[in-house]
Amino acid sequence: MRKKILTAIAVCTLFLIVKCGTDTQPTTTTQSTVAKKDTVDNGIGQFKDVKLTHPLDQGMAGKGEDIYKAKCIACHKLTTEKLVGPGWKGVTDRRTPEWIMNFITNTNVMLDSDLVAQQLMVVCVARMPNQNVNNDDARFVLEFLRKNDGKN
Amino acid sequence: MMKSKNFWISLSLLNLCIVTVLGVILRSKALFDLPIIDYNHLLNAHSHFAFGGWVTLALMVLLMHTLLTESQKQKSIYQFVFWSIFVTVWGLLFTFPFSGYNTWSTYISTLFTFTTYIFSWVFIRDVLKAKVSKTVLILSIASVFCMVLSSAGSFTLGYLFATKSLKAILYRDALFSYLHLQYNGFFTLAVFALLFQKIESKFSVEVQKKIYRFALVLVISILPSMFLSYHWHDPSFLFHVIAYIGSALLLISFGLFIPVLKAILKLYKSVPILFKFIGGLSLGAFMLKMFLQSFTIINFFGNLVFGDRPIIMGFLHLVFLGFVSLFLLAYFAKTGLLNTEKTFTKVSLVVFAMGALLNETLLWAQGFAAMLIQSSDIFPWLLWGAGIWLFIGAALIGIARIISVPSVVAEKKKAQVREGFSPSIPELKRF
Repeated sequence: MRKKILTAIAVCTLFLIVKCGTDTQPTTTTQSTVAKKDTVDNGIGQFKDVKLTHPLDQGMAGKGEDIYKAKCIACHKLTTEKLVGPGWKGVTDRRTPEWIMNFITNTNVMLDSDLVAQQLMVVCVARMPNQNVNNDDARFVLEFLRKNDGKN
Repeated sequence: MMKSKNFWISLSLLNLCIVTVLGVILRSKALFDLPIIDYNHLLNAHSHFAFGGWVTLALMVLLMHTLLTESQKQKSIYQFVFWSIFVTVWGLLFTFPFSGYNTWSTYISTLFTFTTYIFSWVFIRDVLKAKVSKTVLILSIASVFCMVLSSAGSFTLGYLFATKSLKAILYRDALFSYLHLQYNGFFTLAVFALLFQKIESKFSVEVQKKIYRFALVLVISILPSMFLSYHWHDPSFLFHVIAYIGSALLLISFGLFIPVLKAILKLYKSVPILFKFIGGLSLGAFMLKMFLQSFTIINFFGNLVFGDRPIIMGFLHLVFLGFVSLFLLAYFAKTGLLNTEKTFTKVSLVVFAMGALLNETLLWAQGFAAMLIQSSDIFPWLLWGAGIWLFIGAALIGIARIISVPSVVAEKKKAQVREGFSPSIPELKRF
């Protein structure tokens, strides 16, 4: 009898693996549409026009890296790979500096009202809590993101 | 298919081992490129399997076997429940990692939830007729009741995932309510029901009264203290008041626990150092939990804690690993489900307990470093090491169980045969 049950479990398992394999497809497509879509969306918040410097400010990027290691590392990787939240590589190509800083400082409002942020939340199946990052620190993180993307 | 308590405990230990493997993979994902693995899907598998496959299974088996009468234990419905729990959590293990919440995993976790309903219904009816003390009765019934109530939270979450509407307040409230009712309700109350069932009769009437008072306030505190989880989003005045009451009740039950703890320490004064270590860690974790929980009432701490992932993880592992898992292992060891006469078993238990301690220390350190904005990119590596340590501990415990316990059964059988006494079937099943 136990053998029978074990066989049944094994068959179900196989079936489920096959089924799940096909299920993951749509998720990836959503992700890529999210990635391509916006270049003008600045998000919701106080940042309307962020001034960037060229070349980027190494001092600010260094401070941003410290904040990353303390507050962000538990959920975000620096590659393209998703951990709890999306990987950070290439984010400065996908989003405007304003969107990034608004998202960091105004997380809850963005997750409730910004379309792109909401789509990302669905892809990640997790909701980022507000990290209490102030405006200056958010700017440092932005600079670190630019450095991570090889910007100058 | 009647299976003994031994059989189910072995399976729950196997499941614990798998939980730690999933934990190691999760922590590896933070460090290495593992594009095949979706972190959050695997996280769902890790937590569901830990809740269902390890703690729920072990607690249900122990509650049923230690609280109920011999004839009640023979009911085949319990065997059906345990099988159903086991099969559904394995189903989740093979669905969540690949696709997270989809039709299949939702379907299977619904089956799991219905199984817990069946257990609650049958168990509550039986335990009311069984001969247990007032203390154990209220603890066990409230525990099982919380398990049923928690499913409201998980159904809400399932609905939110299915409709892809992760509204801030509802999402967090549903998640925290579910976790609260599982951790502080089901797990905590079941642990104390098992503990007091074991030791209550060894105390004087006076101490028994103290235990009853502690148990009563602990049970009463569960629902009001749930409102501590809603405190962060500034709800209505009434919610605040209930949260304050909850916090106060937690502190009162903390206070009432201290004389009970003293009595327990006195009772266990001469037990081997191994029990003192593991049991002490477990009860220490419980007290720390009560303390921390009641302090989230202060908005400053609440805000710090609810956004700080390592701290949340630290709290969850404090209760799950530190308090509940270590209690279960100490209980197994004390009741012979793990044979602590063998050095191998002792070593395995110590390794696992040290792993739990290390894991906890690292998570809190990472959480505090995040609050103080200190760079800490060494933490993911250290946590990875702690995960592997825990896996080794769990694997050793599993091996210890395999190599030691069957021999105990055989020896006892032999001894009984030598005494010219042939054991009846129910007696054999009790091992």
